[in-house]
Amino acid sequence: MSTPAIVGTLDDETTTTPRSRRRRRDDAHGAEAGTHHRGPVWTVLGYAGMVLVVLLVAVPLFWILITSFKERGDIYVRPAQWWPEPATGENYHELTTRIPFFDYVRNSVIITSATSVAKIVLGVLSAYALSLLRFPGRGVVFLVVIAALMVPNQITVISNYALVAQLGWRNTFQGIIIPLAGVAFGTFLMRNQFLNLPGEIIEAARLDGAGPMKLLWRVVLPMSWPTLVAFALITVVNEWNEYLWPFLMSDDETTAPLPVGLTFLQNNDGVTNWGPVMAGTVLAMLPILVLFLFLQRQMIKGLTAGAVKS
Amino acid sequence: MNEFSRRGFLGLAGAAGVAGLSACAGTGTAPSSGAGGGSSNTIEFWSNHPGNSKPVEQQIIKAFEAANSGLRVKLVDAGKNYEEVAQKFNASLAGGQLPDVVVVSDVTWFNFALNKQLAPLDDLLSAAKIDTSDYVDALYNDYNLDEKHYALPFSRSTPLFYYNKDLWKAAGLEDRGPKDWDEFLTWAPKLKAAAGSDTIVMELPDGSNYLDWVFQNIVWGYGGAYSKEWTPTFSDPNTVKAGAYLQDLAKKGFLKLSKDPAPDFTAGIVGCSMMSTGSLGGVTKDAKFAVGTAFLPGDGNCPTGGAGVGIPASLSDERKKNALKFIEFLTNAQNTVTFTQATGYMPVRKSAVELPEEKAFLEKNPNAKTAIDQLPKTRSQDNVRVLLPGGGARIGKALDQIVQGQDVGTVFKALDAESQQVFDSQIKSKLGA
Amino acid sequence: MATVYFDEATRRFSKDDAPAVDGITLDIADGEFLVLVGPSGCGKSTTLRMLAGLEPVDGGRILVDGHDQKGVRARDRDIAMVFQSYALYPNMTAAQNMAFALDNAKVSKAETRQRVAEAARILELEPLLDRKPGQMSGGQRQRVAMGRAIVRNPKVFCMDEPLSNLDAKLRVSTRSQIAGLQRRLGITTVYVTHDQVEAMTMGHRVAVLRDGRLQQVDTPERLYDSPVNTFVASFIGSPAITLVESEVREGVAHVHGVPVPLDRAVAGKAGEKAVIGLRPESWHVVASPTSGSNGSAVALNVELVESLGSESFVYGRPAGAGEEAGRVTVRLDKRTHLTVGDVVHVEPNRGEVHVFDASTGDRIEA
Repeated sequence: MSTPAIVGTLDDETTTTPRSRRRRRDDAHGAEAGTHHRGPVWTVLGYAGMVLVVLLVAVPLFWILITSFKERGDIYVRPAQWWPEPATGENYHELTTRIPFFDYVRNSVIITSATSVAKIVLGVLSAYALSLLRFPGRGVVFLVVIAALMVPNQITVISNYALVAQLGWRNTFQGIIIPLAGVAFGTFLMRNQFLNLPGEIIEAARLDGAGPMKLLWRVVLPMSWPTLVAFALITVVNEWNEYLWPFLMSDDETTAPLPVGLTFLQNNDGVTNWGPVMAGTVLAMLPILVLFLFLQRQMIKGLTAGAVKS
Repeated sequence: MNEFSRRGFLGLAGAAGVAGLSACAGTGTAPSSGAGGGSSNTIEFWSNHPGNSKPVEQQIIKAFEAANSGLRVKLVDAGKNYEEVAQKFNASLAGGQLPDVVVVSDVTWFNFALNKQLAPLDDLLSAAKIDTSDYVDALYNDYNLDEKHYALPFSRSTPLFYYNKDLWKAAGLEDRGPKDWDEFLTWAPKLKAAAGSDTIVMELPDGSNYLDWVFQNIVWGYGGAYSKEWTPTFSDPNTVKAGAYLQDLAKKGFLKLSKDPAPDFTAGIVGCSMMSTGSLGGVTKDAKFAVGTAFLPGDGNCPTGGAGVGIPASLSDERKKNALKFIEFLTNAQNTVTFTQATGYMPVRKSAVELPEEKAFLEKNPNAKTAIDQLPKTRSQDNVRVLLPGGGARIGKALDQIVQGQDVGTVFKALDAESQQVFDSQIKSKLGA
Repeated sequence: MATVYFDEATRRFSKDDAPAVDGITLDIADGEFLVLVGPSGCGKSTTLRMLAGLEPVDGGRILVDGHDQKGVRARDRDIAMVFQSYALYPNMTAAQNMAFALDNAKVSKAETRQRVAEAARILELEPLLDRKPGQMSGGQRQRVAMGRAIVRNPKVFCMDEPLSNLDAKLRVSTRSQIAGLQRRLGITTVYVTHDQVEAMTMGHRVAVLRDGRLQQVDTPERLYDSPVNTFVASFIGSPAITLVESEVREGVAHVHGVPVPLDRAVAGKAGEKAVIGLRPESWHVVASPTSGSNGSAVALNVELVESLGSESFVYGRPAGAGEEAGRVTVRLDKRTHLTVGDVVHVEPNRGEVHVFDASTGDRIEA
């Protein structure tokens, strides 16, 4: 765990003793020496590989970005234009005027935050009950949850649709959010995390008089922070991109989220003007990107918090 | 201490469990007649707004509401393409809250009709005294099953032959499309010589993107067919000949398949293509060269395509009547002109071309005129492509294999057997009922 | 502060297996330091966890201050535990670790602060109060774990091998610190260890367990001087006692051929055979095979010598005895020097023999 990369993020933790710092630096030297031993050919190949991967990921993103600033006629030209010339904000203007873009953003934020919060809270609570609390039928409940995880969501869609439609919840936020709040994945993930926590710490907290909520909040969750953040991130990204169910449930921009809304920029029987589509993609990506950068820091912090020596 | 008891906690866990189960719960009772809510004077119109037509749909709806006080139309975003509309319609069939009017494509309508989920319109049409003879015959009869019509044409398209006039000139060719595919084969080397090495003579959509739709033209051109009524005829020597022609084009390097030929054509790196009339507006807008359009090669060999609008079978009679009223309005001569001028689709009424605004429009847009002029030469598609479940995809896959160089006879023979088997198992018993 | 009474307490992990803890009855006085000792798997940790409420009691009862603890949750028992792994909360500082239980018990902020400061002072933790466990050494963590237990001023301390993760030197010093602390606080303590030295040096009384059964509860001295059976005799004491199965004729046991007269009452109960136990210090060296008090001595081929400076221990096999004969361990003072391969003649000290029944292994008392 004492990799040099992580030391760099620890600037606020001043209590690390100088001795352990020095040792970490020594480790780093050792690691560098190790790579030198492998010879320049491997090093070059390694960097080439990394550059290749970066290009694979970055080039399409870059292309989306520059296309969003191109004029319509410049999108399909040969040779390809690698810089918008002239640059234009027209696509963004068209994006926000041709479809009710901000309505879709609002809906996405509402649906994503509500569903994510519900999923995370329910996932954590159910996983906690299924891993650390003893009650009769616990195994059966867990089996049922796992079984729910195994049923592909395409199969449940129709019966869910029937249920929600009968409740008269079509084209409403609760109709979209509540069926999405099922948590089998979170339950499964967090349960495994909780079961992997050192049992003695849980017992220590019980002996220290911590009730179930306090045990969860003060002891179990802080130790599970990295997993929880990863789970939250996966959940938010999934909800943000969720397409099938919101598409079935929503009728118009009063409830439809961004992924559904952006499709109306595409011409489904003819030529699509890709400029606004790319602009919409850029704007839809931004919040998730920011969230990811922010939470990633949290995840690494969580990892360095220092567990108990086993 | 503040006692959050274990029992209380189990309650919470239980709640979490219930919510988890809700992800796979729910049973739909079959919607009884008139079920699924919706008042009879609000017409729900489920559309994917083909050709970015939402504004013009709204415009037509406004005009309809003005003309029919007391009736309201709710326009619903029902998907990004025809398949998604079908999916959403399917879900609503299981669970209620049905639309009043739904967009169904040349491929999706049949299964709904076969399962009696779409209402046959003939009685409703005669009750409302609507004259169907003004609809373009080929388009109207596309929705015919057992002498009943299950939809009316709405956003209809045909393929057109698109070509790059600049390249044609450079190759020393006449400014027109090929008369037939044999002539095209004599042109292809000239085009290839005139074009740069990185230019492709012809690009067509691949098998997952409706190659099977435009290829029908080549098949018919050689006297073959996908099927006669319900009997697959891929092994017919003429059909095989068309397949061999396609393979030959690819082998000689004249043909390339892609997901969507429109961008490449617009970018000027493709000499010609067969694409939907729906692409016309976009292509002319984006291309930096002179775009030419022509009839598909051959005579009377142009397949129809696109979508119509239908009415769910289980609606109350009152709702059906109102729905039909809206459909009639949506597809009347005036509105089909409004709609098609905004999108590039074909007018579905014969009388539409007589309207002065349409005449003026065609004057200004000779390429659009090509499409209209081709309309009388259209032919309804073969059953095994549009009516057999999965037909288009099945044929498309086989055509991909042929372009990749597999033996035409073998591939088509297998396709015959497979199509026959799907027909026997899924369609046969439901027909003639 | 409290008394603890185990009344036939039993724990069964599964119906088919032998119980992990089998009917233990144990009376622990208020303020007593009781050590549970035994080889691994003997059930000592399980016994402790039953007391803490972390394991159910499948048979019998456990009373604290005369109250049956059945159905009392761990968090309501007012018992503090120090774990082998320390089980500190990694997300909390040392001070927060110690304050956690008080916080849960709704002790006022001021009093919490005062009690944490007091514990920190006793354990010399003051400079570490703001550190998290990840930034502390093993010994420091161990002290925080102790601190977490003592701030609570609980009825009973439970300690589960709290020293086994420390290095040898630190273990010795911490041993006396814990014993001293316990004396000062006067809190009833149950301490689990597999290390008999810890048991002998720390406990007021030591309970020896084997296979879930209690063998003997006694002061360290009594355990050493009067082990109730060969198991206790060989478990307690280092180096271990030498046990020799010997013939008994006319009140005299013959240990490797050397006659050892027994107490008459003991000899009467022993029968023809007995196991004779001799501690390393219960031998003395004689000059020659015949110079013993009875005109005979055991000749040992020295196989191993452990010299500790002030004394040394010699492990040897009686000359002429086969491989099956056990080794004899003898303590020598520092004036006697032997090396491997030497032959030394030794004779048991009179009156320092332990006699055990040959078939049951139980001690035979007069």
